[in-house]
Amino acid sequence: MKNRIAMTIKSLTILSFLAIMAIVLAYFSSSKAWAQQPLAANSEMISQAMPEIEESPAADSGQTAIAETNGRVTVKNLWKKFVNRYQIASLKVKILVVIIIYLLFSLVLLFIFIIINRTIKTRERKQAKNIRETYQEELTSYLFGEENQVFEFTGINHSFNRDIFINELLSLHNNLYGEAAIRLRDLYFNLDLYKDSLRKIDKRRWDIKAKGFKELAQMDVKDSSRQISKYVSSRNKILRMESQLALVKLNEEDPLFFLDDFKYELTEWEQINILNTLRYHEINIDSFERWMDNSNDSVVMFSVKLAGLFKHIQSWPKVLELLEHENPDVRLVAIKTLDMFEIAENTGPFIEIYMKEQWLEEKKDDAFYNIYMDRNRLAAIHALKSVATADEIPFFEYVLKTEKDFNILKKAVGILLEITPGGPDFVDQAYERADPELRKIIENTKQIAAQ
Amino acid sequence: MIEFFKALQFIVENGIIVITIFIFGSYAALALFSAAAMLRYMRKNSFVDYRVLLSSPLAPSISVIAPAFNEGKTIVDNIRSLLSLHYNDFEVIIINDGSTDDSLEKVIKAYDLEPVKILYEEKLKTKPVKAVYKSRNKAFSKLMFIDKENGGKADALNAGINLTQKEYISAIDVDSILIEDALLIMAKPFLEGKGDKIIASGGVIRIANSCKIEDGRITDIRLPKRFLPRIQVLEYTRAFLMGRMAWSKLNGLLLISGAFGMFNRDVVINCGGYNTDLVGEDMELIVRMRRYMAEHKEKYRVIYIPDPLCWTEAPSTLKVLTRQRDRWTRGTMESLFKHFKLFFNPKYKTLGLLGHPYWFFLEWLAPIIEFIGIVYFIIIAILGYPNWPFFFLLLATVYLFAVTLSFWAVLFEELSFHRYKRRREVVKMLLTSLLEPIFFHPVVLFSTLRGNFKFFTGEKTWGKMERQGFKEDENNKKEIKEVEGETPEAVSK
Repeated sequence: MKNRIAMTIKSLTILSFLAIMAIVLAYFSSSKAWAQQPLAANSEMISQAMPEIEESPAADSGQTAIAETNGRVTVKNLWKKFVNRYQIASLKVKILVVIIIYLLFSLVLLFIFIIINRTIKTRERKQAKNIRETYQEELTSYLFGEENQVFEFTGINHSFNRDIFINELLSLHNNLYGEAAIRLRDLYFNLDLYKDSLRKIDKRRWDIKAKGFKELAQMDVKDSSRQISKYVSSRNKILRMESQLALVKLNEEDPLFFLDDFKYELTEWEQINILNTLRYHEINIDSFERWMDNSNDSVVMFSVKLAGLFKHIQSWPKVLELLEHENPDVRLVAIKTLDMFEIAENTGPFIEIYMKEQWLEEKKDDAFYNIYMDRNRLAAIHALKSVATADEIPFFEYVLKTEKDFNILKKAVGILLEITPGGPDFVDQAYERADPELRKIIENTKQIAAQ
Repeated sequence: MIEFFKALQFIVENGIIVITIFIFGSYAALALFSAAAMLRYMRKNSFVDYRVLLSSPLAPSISVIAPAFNEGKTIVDNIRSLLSLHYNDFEVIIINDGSTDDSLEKVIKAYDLEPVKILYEEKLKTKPVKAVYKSRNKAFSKLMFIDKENGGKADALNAGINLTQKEYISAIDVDSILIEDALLIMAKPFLEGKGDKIIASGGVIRIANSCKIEDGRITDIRLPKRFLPRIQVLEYTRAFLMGRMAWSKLNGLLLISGAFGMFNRDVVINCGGYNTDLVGEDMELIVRMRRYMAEHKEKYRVIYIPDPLCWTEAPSTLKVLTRQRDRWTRGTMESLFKHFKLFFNPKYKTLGLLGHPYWFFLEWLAPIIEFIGIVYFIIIAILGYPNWPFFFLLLATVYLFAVTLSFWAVLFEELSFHRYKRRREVVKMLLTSLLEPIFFHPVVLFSTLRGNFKFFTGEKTWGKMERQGFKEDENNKKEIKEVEGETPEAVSK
């Protein structure tokens, strides 16, 4: 369908251009007035040729409207009179006539195209539906039939049908596990459908290439990984992502090798897709530390997130180092990952990072710097929730005294109320010397905790 | 004196022609840009699996914020529809903006709500919040219901923004119908930002009049049976598929519909939230957010998604339509004049050099010039000097150009989302295109002029709105909602 959109736009553009050229050429070449006299001198020349004409106030932008007074009444004369009266031969009128003819032509063309397109589309949709149903039935029979039975799939050599067949087979394969999935994969190879997928990689259009990657990865065509890896640093971000996803699946030994020299920013969308592939195919990676020193911050953040999600607690010293990273986003990911590890010894680093992530007056014109600082301090306080003990009460005392951010104060009071022994008593004491805003926070947090 | 009038005549006539050519050229250029952008979008998204967001722990959190005023008849179904959206980490915040009907009682009963204590920071000033409710039933744990004093749609949205802690906020009209994957599709562009921050994304608003709706979901898409909504289908298709797509590509989008848009919460709060003094708060927020980012030298983008994610009811009477368009005009003018500093200001790049001037000349000034042209022609017609053939040729050109644009819009729709499946619907749309410039355009022009008049005379009310419910076409039964003063209104630009 996308091919058809491109073809339509191209053909309509070319047709429109040709139409404009044809109309302009035809119109101006047949116009004697245009061929014989310059328009700037138009009315002057007409005046010389027809001395008997009289001038009248004009309606057309300062030009002279002319009325013929003598002469025989013939159709030609009447037309001439009409032309002269209204300056039909002026450049503006000529341009308008050309535009009108062109627009009429486009309208007819568009109308015909839309109707034909609709008819073809409806027919194709019905046809595709029937073929799809046929293949669904045939594939089900194949799956539940005898293993060595020879199967004939209707019209599979026709390219239109073959595409539908591949889609159906892949869709079915995607929903099946075990023996059934293996049988479908065998069928994919036996019918040489992998060759179709490989051919897609060589196509010029990036969306067809990307589709080829998907098919080959899903059917685990390992030999294709070398071809696919050519695109892992492609400038086309979709091609790049699809090749990465395919390689995560195909390159079992080192699924994330492409992150080593990854020069682009790894977007969150790419990260989500890679993570999904890792989880769906249950791909294990021994360690993510290899990418935590990468010069590409997006790669560092992704590896830290993966370490947290896959509970690579052994990576915590490396993650801890990242609390010193210059990028506040990296520091945030590191704090959240350490929080996920839930290691009791971590209170020290969280307190330290809280103390560092402070507002900077000189950054007050930066739209996000101080927001990042607040966000990171909040994350550090949140991380203390599961590991804070009575030893941390002095730190919280400091927080309540100095902190300005509402959400951090709210979180700090909430954590204090959960620290036993001593937390609730300390909150009561803090209430006595708190300013009205903090008092309000304490009162409300206590009420919420009691709910 | 005669020389003066001749000079004036020359300026007016040639000026109108030059502007007409400029407008034609701009629309044609936008259509071409849109075609290229649509083609890329369709290819790009042909193999996107949005479901990866459903289960991913890396997916961002979203808060759906929907203000409601006197929506008692439909609010329970509308909330159910919002709660059934496909997304994992999201909440639905409904703000009852001082409704005078039984909205509150109905929602409390239907969702087993109880008042809860919630401590939040009022970063954006709003009218007082009376109570916050949450459900006792865990099945509705994503729902938060805020009951507050009436302050208008912008004020209600600000109250919702104050209460949420999610990363992104999605502002919607409570009676709009979202497709189930709307949040998944809308969230994706925020995850694709590279170096530049995605501050907002907006989707296509489609017209739901005559569509079959069951349990807050569209089950059968149909072209509106009535003429007026049908014309608006064409108009929306043109505006969304051929206009905003191109502006998104140029990073010059100035408007995200109030019916459904998604925003970065931090940026919204930093900018001061919705402006409660304006009638066009949706456009003004986007302009302010863009301005804020540009002034802080932050790279950013506003993204537009052509997928039909949100369906809403279009006005089906002239009275309601003229009020809506009059208000849109005032909203546009508010944003343009309030942020006039942007006008041809190179500091703001595309926003200052292209976006703002385009809206200034083509959205605000063009109807005024059109009106001047009409008045001028009437005067020369009365004086007996019109060049009739030239007049008719010019009229035919403008008419045919308008129809051609609509035909292109129908073609865009056919080749992209193809939502109207019946052939007779396509033929109807094409025939409607022929009538639109004759019957619909004059109404829009009149409303626009009225909006200009009201703007300059300082009128800032939303006006009294009468809307017909979605069920009108099915049951031939009218559900009239009356909205007074500066209250929220569902059909947004």
